[in-house]
Amino acid sequence: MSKTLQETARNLLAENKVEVIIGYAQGYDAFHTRPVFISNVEDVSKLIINEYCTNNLSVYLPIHKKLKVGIVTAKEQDLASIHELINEHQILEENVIIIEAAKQISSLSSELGEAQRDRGIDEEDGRQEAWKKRGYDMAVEEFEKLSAKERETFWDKEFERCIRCYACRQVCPVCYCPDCFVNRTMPKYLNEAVDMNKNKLFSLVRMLHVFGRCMDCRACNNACPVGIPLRLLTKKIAKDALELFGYVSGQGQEHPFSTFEKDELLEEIR
Amino acid sequence: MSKTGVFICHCGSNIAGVVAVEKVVESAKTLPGVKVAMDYKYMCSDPGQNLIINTIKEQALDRVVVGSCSPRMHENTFRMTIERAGLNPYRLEIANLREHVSWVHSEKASATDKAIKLVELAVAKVRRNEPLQKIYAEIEKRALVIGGGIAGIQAALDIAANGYKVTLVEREPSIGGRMSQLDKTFPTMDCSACILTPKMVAVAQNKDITLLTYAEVEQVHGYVGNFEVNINKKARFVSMTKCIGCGVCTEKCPSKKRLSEFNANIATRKAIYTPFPQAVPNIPVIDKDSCMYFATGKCKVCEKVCPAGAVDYTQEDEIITEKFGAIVVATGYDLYDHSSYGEYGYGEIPDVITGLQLERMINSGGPTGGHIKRPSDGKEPETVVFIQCVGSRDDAKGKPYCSRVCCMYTAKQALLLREHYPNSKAIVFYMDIRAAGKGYEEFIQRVQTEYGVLYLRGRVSRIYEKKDHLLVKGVDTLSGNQVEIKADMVVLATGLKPKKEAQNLAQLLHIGYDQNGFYTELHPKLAPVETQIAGVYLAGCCQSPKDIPDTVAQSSATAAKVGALLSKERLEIEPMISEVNPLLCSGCRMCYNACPYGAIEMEDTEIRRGEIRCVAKVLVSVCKGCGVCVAGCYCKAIDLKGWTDRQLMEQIKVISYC
Amino acid sequence: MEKDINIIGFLCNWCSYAGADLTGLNRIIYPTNIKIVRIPCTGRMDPVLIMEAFHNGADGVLVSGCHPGDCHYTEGNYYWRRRHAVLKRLLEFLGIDERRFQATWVSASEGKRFAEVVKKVVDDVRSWKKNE
Repeated sequence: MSKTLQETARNLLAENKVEVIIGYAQGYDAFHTRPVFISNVEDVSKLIINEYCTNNLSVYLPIHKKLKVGIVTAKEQDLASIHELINEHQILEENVIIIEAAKQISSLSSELGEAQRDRGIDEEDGRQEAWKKRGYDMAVEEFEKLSAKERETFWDKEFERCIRCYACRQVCPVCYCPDCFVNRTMPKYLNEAVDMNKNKLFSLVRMLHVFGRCMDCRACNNACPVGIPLRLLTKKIAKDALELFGYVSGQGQEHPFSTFEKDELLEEIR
Repeated sequence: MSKTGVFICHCGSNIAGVVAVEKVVESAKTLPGVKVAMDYKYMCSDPGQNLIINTIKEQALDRVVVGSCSPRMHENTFRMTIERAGLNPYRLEIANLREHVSWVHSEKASATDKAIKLVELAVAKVRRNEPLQKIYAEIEKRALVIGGGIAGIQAALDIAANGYKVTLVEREPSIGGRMSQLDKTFPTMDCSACILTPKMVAVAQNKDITLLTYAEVEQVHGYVGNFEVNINKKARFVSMTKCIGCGVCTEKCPSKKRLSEFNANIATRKAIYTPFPQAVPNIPVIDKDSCMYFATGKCKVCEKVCPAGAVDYTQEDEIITEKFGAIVVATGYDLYDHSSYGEYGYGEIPDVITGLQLERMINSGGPTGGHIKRPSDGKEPETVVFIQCVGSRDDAKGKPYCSRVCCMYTAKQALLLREHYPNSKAIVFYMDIRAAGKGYEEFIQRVQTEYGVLYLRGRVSRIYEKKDHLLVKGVDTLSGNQVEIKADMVVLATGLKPKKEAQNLAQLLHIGYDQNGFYTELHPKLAPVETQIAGVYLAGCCQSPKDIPDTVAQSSATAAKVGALLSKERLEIEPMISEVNPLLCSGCRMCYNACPYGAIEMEDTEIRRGEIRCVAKVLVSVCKGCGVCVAGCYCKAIDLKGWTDRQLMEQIKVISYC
Repeated sequence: MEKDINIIGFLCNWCSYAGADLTGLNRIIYPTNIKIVRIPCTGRMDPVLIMEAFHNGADGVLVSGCHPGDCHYTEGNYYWRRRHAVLKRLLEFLGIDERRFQATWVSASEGKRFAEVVKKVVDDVRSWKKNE
């Protein structure tokens, strides 16, 4: 599989169709991958594709806006992210050549549990049990059935661990703002102190910002070093977008916040 | 450190009766940035205002907070006050101590506490108030009128009479619109052409009016005072300058299959044609779709016979870009297509015609020379049934509104029929007779009594096609009887609907339209010709169905509005509008897509030396300051002056820390 | 004595703020717990400001604007209605009690209604605080 990929990449570079290829290379062991940027034909052998290619590489596209880029996509969501970035005018469609590896690995990855694949967790290391116990694999609907107090307690416990490293933001393809609101000083929306309320505020506002633009690529969820189940939040906003506005991200619909219907949500505010 | 002065008004006993003013003053003195705090019995009085002015000067204050009545009451007063003292008028905040404290709280201690808090709030906000400057914009002193019917004609003439240049754009080959298709006009029975043609000629001869026929608006950019409009001048294939309007080309053109739009499809026209003899300009166009030359490459008869050498098959569409200060939209209406009515034969019974078709028949210049003839066999009809409200007041057809003119035009047509054929019978099925206009009710009465037109209140359930006549079955609800009428012809009073392309134009102009597709005025009562886009005005039936007098009145109203706008030296714009920091903008277009006014433009901007990015830019004359863009900006690159996040955050902090 | 509850009211300049002024004009009494921040339009309401209010310690937030169709800027409140729907659900998802975040429409002529709205919000937030 990696061979075909390398061949495609070699041709693209050799024919000068692209200036750089963004793909995956092996990480510190066989179970991890890291992003790689290849502009020399000799380096294409570094490219690999396997079930551990979990990062969403489209996050690197906006900074390469002016270059002709070939990009490897390992899952459908990564592909959707690229289209979203095109829609949001962050990259130029004609500058991007997509090397779609998603279909090739989907059969492989379906053999692994989803949560496991999300984080590359080994079956043996026992973390999966803890994972389930904490309710991380809970569906949005189930979570909504909990009482307000239970929900609050759940998130309080989660966000207590948050160290505000902003890894979730760094890996998110649609978090491309030149200067994130949390960095602002005039006004200061958040100060640097890490406390649970501020942590929560940050994630909540980030969710509102990626509302309708999140492709459920799980990059934030995977990147979180303290394992906050951010995917529960991204699934929640995807559900609301569908239920409230019939909106599914990445389908070319107008973003719910930049349009409206006069005869909708009539019961919402009275 | 800012130097804020706090001035608390007693408002007689209105505020001081509940709020312990001296405590508010004492507390205000301790707030950061406050240099001086004082109270006075009536702050808005002359001595009160002078107290503020003198204190500003003596203490070199740079910001002012007034604790008084609602800002909706005296914000402007105090802005002018501090401006007189040399401060920027926007360095003022009002703490609403009357409407929001003393008048709604009776318990003195807690009311005083709240008043203290509100003053703190205002002090916190004013600390972040930037000095704002009034914005001025130039005005392009020309107007564009879209649509050359009676509405557009009247608007253009009146604007020109005010002394401004006007461009009148009409999509058809001639101006004149619907009114030129009519025979007589109710209730005075003036001949439509006789009163319209002079106006059309006046347009053509007016040196201040540029007439662009066979042209369409393609794109609109800009804002009030400075619209930039792309107009597509469609290829006529006849030179406007060479043609002498002799009509030989039309006469000799071998193609004659095309139904004449002007004659409501009851006659045909040639491929090279002027819609009607009085057309302005009287210069034909070649309809590419029906021309033999364009289809087969052969023919060229018109070119050969033209004595002026005006025919030019190589002409192409030409797009011109012009600037205008104001735009009048007068695109008029289409008629409801009755083929959706099964009970009236789905538009397939030849002798069931529309009011407009009858209009063309009665007209002496029409295809039948002014004689009403049955389309099926050309016979004179004896009994004619008129059916009102076809495509009006019919929820089932999605047309819930009244078209306003059908009652009157039906009565007029029945009268004309009776006049033309004194032996004929006219029967009208109606729902209600709506004759609210000067002389309208009298006219309806006259039609019934003097002309013996029979009015039946009820609907027609079915029209049957018999051998040589039509059988009209209906109900007379006043007598409660089923009726069957042997008719020779049925005339449907089809209702008015917006032009097919009306929504398109609305999107180009960013103006709104209602559920029926008619353009929405800014205010249904108090701003009936304005739209939510400053500098764009509405005239005639594009806004709602209306008759000729109302249309003309509305058109003149738009001209007055246009005159008022264009007569200004320059536009003064409220400075509390949005502003983009291009360094922070990602160019995602969220604001561009959401802005209700189309006030955001995307523009390649050099944000740092050598770095060009396509970022949002606020069109200062278009922005109204609603802040929808601010709420939608993830990057926080856009902010609303006077209501910045910085100001609001200060207030939020003050309140929340209670 | 325990600190009384504290509510921040964001009122649009054209309808609700004027409605609240009318409450005063009609001398209708309501609790002092609410402090009003004037905003140009509910369309201006960035959810982050509401989050900031909670984060800074407000017990409740009320946002009020023109009734649909009456917006001074024609459409601002429709945009707000969408943002509100999403924010409300997300806040509830995070376990923030729904009584703490309320939105309503108050026109410039509904002075009486504004007082009723305030009373209701104050009661709601108080009942939440009691169980907290």
